[in-house]
Formats: sequence, C-alpha cells, structure tokens
Amino acid sequence: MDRNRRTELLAASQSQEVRQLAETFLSERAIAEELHVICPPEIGMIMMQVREPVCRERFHLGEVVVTRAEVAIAGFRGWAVRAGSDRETALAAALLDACAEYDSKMANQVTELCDLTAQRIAADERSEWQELLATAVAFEELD
Amino acid sequence: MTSDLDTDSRQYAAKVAACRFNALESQAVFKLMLEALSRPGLIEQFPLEIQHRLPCVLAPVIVLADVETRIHIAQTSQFNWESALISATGARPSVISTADLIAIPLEAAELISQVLESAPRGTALAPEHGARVIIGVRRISSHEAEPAIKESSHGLKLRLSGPGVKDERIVWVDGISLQDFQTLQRSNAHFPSGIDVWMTTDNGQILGLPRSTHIVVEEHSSKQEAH
Repeated sequence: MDRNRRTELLAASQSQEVRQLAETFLSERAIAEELHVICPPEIGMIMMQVREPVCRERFHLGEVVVTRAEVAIAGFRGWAVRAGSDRETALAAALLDACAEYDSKMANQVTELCDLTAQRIAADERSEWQELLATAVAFEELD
Repeated sequence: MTSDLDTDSRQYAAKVAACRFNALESQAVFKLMLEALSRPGLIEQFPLEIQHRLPCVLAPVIVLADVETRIHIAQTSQFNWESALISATGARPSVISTADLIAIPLEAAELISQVLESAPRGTALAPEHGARVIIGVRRISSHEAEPAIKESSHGLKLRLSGPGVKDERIVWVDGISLQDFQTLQRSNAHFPSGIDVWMTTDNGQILGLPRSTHIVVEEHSSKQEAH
C-alpha cells in the first residue's frame, strides 16, 4: 500500500480502532523509547476542494476543521491529518504511519486496518448509491 | 544508547521547533516584511530571538507559508531546512517554476540567477501569482562608507527609485552578483507581473525590493540599469 493511500485511509479510519492499534504499538518498549513528536497535534482550518462530476473542474466547497500531527520513530517519520479536532487520534494516526515505515510486521497490521476502512467506505458508498438510484433520471436525446 | 537515527530524529524535531513561530513572532516578522517592501532601500531588523533561532532567510517563508502554499528552498549540503519547514508549516514542496515562495540561502548564492529566471512571474491579469523570493546575502548597508562592503570585490551599490522611495535611495549589498540583478530586471520587465524580492543577512537585516522598484546597479566603476 503506498503512503498516500495509507494516509488517506488512516484519516478515514474509526477513531477507536486507530487509537487501539497505536496503543498496542506503544506498549513495545522500542517504539515508546524512540518516539519523537515532531509536530504536536494542532487544530486548524483548510480549504476543502471538490471536483464537480460534469466538467471535472475543482471548486472550493468551504473550510473544514482538521487536526494534524507528525512524529518520528528512529528517524522514520509519520504524518497524519484528520477531519475534526480529535488531537489524540491524529497523533495516533501519525504514529501508525511512522510504525508502518519502521517495521514490516507493524506495516502489515496498519495495512489490515486500512483495508478494513477501505471496505467500509466502499460498502457505505454502495449503500448510498442504492438509495440514490431510485431518483436517477434517464434522458433521451432527440435527433 | 542513542542511535544515529534517534539523534537524527532529535535534531529534526529541534529544527521543526525552531521553524514554529507563535502569533506574536509571526506578526512581528510580517510587519517587518511589509515595512521593507513599502519602503524599498530602508533596512529593517529581525527580532534577536528569531536571529538566534534559525537562518533569517527562512523567517519570511515561515510567516507566509501554509497548507495552500508551495515552497522551494534552494538546498545545499550545508543547508537542508526544506523538510523541517514543510513539517512546521504544512506547506507543499515544489519545483522553482511553480513555487509561491522561494528562499535562497547565502550558501546557494550561485543558484540566484537560475531561480530568478524560472520563478513564476504571474500575468498582467494575475500579478499575485508572481513568486516571493527571499535571498540570503552577506551584508547590507545604507552607508556608503561601510568599509567591509566597499572593500569587498563583490559589493554592489544600488540606486533605488520608484514607489515608496522619495527621490532616490542608495544601498550597498554584498553577496549577490550584477548578473543576478540583470536576471531580476528581465523577470520584472513587464510590470505588474514580476517577482518581489527580500534580501536578508545572518545578522538579521532585511531589505525589500518589490517588482515596482527601479534599480541602478553600480559595480566598481561601472554603472548598469537593473530595472
């Protein structure tokens, strides 16, 4: 799993799952000793861009509150940004990103969490699409 | 025992911490930059705590950068701050041709012309897309009698005029070449598009040269127009 995708999915993962896995990793002495917080969690606003589906042009939807954090474990850096103001989970997500870079076994566990999140997102989208399908309009073009 | 990677993490964390300004520091530096740009040729001074904390050439970038800004820091083996600056501000790294903010430390002075040549200049309809470039130089002085600059073979005398300057203002700069000013002249030939420049020194001076400033450069006995 590439890093962009991992960061995207860690931002969308459930808070409790992210924190739980981070705590498991932190219980390992090597991680706890070598962890450095590069940027403590900070809350800010960023402009959310959306691409409209007809001309595929980007536009600014509005500003959203996000929390970002950055950590390093033995020189391997981890970064996370999540919507909302949950500092603890943002820090935990950054820790998971760093752990995935630091150790292949931990990377597998993070990938498992990300895969679970991806499946959940896909299921949500399918379910939303099923609800919307009833309102779909089929246009006929006149010659 | 502390590993090299651990030491690296500590050093990196310290660099990032140096790049994080509080609100008062950001306001102070921003005000200096505005003053310097509004009155080209007047030399302003960074607060001491900023001078001691990090290279002054980075301070303007830190103040202006955020998650929607693209930055480029000219890197050398002795000067590698771009990554720390990105961690501290959330800005995006960029190549020169698309960067909003560019910093060239004194250690990378040989890159000045190349950067000024390829930095974005904006257009007549969107001059705000022109890059802001911060250049680290060795010395800046408003006194012609400054011996260190006058004796330096690299010292240039700048005659400034234009908006923000009553009649004419003279500044001496050491650490930038005549060729660099000629490149700046080409980049700023089609006002309002162009590049705004600040020059900083390690002892905390800052000088603003907005794209609207007319610069005549004198090197030794020669005199050349630079805008």
